[in-house]
Amino acid sequence: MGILFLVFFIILIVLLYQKRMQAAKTELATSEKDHQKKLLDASLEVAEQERQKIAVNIHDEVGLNLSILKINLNKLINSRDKEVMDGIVSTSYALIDDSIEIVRGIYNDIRPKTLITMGLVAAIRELVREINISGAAEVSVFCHKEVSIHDKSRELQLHRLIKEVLNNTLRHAKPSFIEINIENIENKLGVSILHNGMKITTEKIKELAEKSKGLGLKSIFTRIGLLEADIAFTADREKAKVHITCPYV
Amino acid sequence: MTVDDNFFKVLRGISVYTTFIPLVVALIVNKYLKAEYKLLFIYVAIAIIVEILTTYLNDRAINNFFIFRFFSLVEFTLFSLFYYSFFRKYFNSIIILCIIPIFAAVAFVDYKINGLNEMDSFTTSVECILLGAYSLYLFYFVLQRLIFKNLLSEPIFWINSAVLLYFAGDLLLFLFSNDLLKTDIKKHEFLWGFIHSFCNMFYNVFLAVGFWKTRPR
Repeated sequence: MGILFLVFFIILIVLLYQKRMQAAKTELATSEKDHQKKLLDASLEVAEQERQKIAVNIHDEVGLNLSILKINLNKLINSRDKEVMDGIVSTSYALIDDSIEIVRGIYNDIRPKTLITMGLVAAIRELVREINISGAAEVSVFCHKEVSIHDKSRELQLHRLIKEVLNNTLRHAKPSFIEINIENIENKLGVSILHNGMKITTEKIKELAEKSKGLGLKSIFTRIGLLEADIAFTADREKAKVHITCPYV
Repeated sequence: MTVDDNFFKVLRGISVYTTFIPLVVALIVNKYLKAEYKLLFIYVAIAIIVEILTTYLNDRAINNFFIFRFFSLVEFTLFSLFYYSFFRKYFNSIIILCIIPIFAAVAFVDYKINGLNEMDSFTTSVECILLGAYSLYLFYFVLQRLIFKNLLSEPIFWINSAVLLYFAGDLLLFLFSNDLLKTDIKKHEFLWGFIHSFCNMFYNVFLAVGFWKTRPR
């Protein structure tokens, strides 16, 4: 009897174990599905925000310029004074130039020219040049061996990711100098952003991204997820570091 | 000799021969055995030697209980080291090592009280309780942690089941063995011939399966 009881006990253990394994697998699958859904929702939210930004730029700036242009044309039709007419034509040309610049700027934001023609490293160098001109911080870029990303949409996502990380670093960490290192690490692209600003850990950043209403941090983690990349925020006594590793494909 | 006596004799004979199965399997899979399973390999080798010796002495009506006294100590030590090797991957299980000298002290006290010519029923009962507890805890531990993808393909499951079946199954037998020998020898022969033989057969088969499962998949 005792032996039979023990045999049944062992069979029960096996059945219970298999049941718990199944439950754990289901939970993992559900959690993975939820994570994918969150990623998709965040990605749609980011895309929506970008569209809104473009719409606002077009409406507020280009739209305004076109409205003033229309008023100017009406004045031109009704005017007989050559001096006044020359003045209206001159301001109209200025408005058209301004509108062209705004549209060019919007286009460059969506499809940066340097990125398309010269690649990621050149685009990062251009971005760094703009930051240095603005005086926000002293930024330098080091790339020992040229990197080439064949997938252009991936390259664009990476460019936006690095730009977003730099923006957040300048806005929140407030460093006075930043050093960007771009290199190949075992068939992956490695980008390290070292700075002397406020230090933060990966866990803290993820916590802030969850709680934050703004899309800056969320967009960083969304792009990380879409690229299947990794991002780590670490620090030693002197410098803080943001390290991104991204597979080429 | 009655039919029952013949039946128990055959059963005991089969039980003794099943002791060779885990050793043969362990020899076949010897190159795949990790450190903790090599301890069990040593154990089954010693178990065969003990089985041969005790059967030889029993057939010549010579008291063989003194051999079991040493074997119990070796058996408990090797199994304790086996469980220690498993658990230390997950937490500090030094308590298992600390229990070995305590068990040795229990075995010594039992020897002092009962001498070499009586069965070490108290020692083996303590051994059964401790190894049964290790075995139950291991089942609980793996159930909580869900360490393995497929429990039935893990050698530890089969070894642990063998320990539980044998030591928990024979606990009462070992506890009352000395008393039964003095009061009711027929019942003693039935229990040893039937219960112990079945427990021993399951034990050896499960140990053999455990050794077989150590082969890489």
